[in-house]
Amino acid sequence: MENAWSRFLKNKPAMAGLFLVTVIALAAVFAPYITRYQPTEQLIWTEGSKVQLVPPCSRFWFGTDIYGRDMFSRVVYGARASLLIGTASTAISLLIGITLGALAGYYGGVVDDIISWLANVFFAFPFILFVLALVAYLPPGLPLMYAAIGIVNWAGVARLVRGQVLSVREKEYVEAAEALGGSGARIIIRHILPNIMAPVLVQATLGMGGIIMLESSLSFLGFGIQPPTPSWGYEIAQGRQYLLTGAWWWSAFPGMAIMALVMGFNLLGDGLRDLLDPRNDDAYGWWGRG
Amino acid sequence: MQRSMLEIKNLKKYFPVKGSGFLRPRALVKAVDGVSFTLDKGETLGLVGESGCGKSTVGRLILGLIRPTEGEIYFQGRNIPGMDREEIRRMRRDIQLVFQDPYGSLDPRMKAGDIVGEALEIHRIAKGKDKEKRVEELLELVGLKPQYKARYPHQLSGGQRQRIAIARALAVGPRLIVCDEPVSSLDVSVQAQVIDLMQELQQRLGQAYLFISHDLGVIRHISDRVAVMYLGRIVELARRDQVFDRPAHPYTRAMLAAVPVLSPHLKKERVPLEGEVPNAINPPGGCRFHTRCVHALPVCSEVEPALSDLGGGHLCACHLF
Amino acid sequence: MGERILAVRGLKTHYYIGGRVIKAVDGLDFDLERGETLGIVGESGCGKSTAALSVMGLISLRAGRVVGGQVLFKGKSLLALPGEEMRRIRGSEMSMIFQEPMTSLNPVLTIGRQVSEVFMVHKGMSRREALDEAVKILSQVGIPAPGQMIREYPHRLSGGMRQRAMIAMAIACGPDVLIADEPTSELDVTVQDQVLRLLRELKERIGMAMVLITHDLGVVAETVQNVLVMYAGRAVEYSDVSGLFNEPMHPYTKGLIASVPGLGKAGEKLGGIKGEPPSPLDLPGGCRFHPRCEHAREICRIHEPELVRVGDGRLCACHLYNDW
Repeated sequence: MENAWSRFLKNKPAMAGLFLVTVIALAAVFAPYITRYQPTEQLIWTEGSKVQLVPPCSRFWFGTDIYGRDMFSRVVYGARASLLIGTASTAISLLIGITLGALAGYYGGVVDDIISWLANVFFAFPFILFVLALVAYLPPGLPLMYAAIGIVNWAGVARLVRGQVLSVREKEYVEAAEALGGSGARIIIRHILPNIMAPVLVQATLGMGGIIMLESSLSFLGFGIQPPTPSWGYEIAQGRQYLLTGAWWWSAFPGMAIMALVMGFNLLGDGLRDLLDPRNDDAYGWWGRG
Repeated sequence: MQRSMLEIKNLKKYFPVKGSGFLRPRALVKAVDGVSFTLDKGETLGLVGESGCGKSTVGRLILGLIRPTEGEIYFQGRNIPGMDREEIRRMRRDIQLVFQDPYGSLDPRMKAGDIVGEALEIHRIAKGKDKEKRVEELLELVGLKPQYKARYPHQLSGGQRQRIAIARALAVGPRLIVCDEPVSSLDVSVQAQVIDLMQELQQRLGQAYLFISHDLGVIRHISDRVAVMYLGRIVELARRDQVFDRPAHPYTRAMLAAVPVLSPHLKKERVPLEGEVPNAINPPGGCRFHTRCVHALPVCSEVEPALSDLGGGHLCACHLF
Repeated sequence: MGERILAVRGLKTHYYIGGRVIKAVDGLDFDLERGETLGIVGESGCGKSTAALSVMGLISLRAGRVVGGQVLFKGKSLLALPGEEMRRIRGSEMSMIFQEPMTSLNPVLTIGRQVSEVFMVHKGMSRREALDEAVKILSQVGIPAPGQMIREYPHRLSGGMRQRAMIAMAIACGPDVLIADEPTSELDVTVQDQVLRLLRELKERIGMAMVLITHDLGVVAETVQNVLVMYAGRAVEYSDVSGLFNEPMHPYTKGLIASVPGLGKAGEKLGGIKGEPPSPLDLPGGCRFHPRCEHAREICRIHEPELVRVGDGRLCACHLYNDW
């Protein structure tokens, strides 16, 4: 695999994606150490109106909002919400999707019929309305958000996994494992899943961008993370009213953060796709005949 | 009378055709349609025929990878189609499989050593240090150095991959190995090495082979007895020398005549065979070969000939005899 | 001696993959006379298909390039020819058939459309005329009911019928040279026999020369007059067909013939050749066959033997025959 890794290092867009995602993730993890103020700290109570809507300067890198909160701090802490929702809901959808998709693909028959029908029902559901309904009906909050998004997303994962399993299970090495006397669980775990993880991983990485966008949109509409916890979508919504007064930084920096993270995941996903494509790592295959 | 290790009786496997069934009569491909033969300990039976004759399906039926539509497969006195999943799993210590495509049949994400060791793990034959040692012995048995343990399939040549596949099959100490075109994808110089290896291993370990191939040269070289299949049925079954020196069935004769010989200018008596193998969904009535047979009689389109003894155990299914 | 129609001199074709050079064909010479059938045999990776594609000017479709040598067709140097002129020759004066008749035919066009296109492109016929000609040529290659067959799509045909359709397209313009690259390797033995008989018959009727590329020594023995044996990108032996099989000279040829099962006594060891063909990425120095050769000596490790005359019209590239 050294070969694959060195190819990845040469893939500039993928490296840029990895860089963006890593920097934002590190910032989120070490947020208390790189910010000067608490994200919820309202400086107007101590310093008065002179810290309201301060443009970016050396003290407040991203400026401040109407409550005198440090936007840099809010953007950095906002990354926590985005990444947490992204990873947690992706994990949920992968867990459900891989399990059900693998069962449907490997066993086929009635199992497949039921799971595929269920997946189609989820597909037919208007995605965003479903989440809105769930969020509106239940008390809003972080766990609810990622559970809702994860549950909605499982169907896509399951469909991908099912298709991959169907093609891999026709491979002779799977039949060979069956002929050796391997059990169904063993064959799925040892032989099938490792051989389908590449496209699933790519899909999951690309999906992260979408989920982060979704979280931002929900928060923008007020159905997502509840204030005062910082969230990029919510910041954009709040700052929107002040855009015309010239306080562009309130909305602009969270917006750029969303863009950077989503782009990072997309570049990374594309890079992984190239990296994990077995056709790129075939010493004999392409050569074929004479 | 002592029973053979493997006895197949009137084996049938019909596959439904995709896209049929709804508002249309369900069409069936009669891949295997009444096949019977026996195989003794340590023997090599060559199963030969052109594509679509059902020879690979027979192999998969014996392994229990698919269930027959009808018929019995007695292995050491027990009927394989009557076994449950667990019994079939256990039976696979005795019957193993080697495929045509040594690349496709090895998991690309597993190292050669793990591929060979997997069977030992599944059947709890050895683990840990013992397993490692056993894997090295198996590699040595098939002529590979122990270093190859750490290689991935794509780092091996075609011949080395097929050696790994053979080592994997041998790991459980099987009595019978079903070999489905095991040398067809190899270059002729490498093919010769693998054939030599398989024969040598048989002499040392005594396993029987059901050797499935379309290549009459390979079949002639390796088999003790030969069964010729055409459209899901055996048309001739006899000792190797009987089949190749005194072929009886018109199809066997035509197929042998079609094989190019290595001596140029030696023009054999030609029975050129016209047409191609008919569709197995609606095989011709009577003798399935009558549509292409130069000797066809009126009876051939009416009555399906049975496999009967021409003398000396030479079985042939043809109305001419 | 007949008129030489095709001459290949010092042909070198290399592929470039991931910054590495693959010397698929690395110094190949051969001649083809009018009406001759030449067999090129060798195992996978020996460069036989690449040689054919190079002669046809089709290498640019792959990640490779002809980097040296000459291809002379009726005295014209094909490699120097502009693309437009090469296209005119291809498919009319010189044509090719491939191993996979399924992938070589366009799945969404009818057989009639594809065969008639050859007449439209090379003979400037109208669609109607071309379709009539297509029916004629299909019946010449033994396709039953060609009038109906022209309306069928490739997937409805059997492998043998598809290869016949490919042959029909290749011979449509009465080529001087037909290059057949493993034309029967995917076919069952009885169908292979039919197709080989058809090729022999058409060759006589049209009077074309044929290059038959195959890994199957039996096919060569039955079909060709002269044989070129290739190994790792170069020719190692050239001989008339009976000389090759009765008295093979190069150790590789001897090993190849010994490897064919079903000839000797059954159950005996075949022997054949030790080792496997080298990867074209990593060719051994000296004689390319020396790591697998029983007769290898010091000189074989250092010097690459030239293809030299070793008898009546026979050539061999081996130091065993260079002593005298």
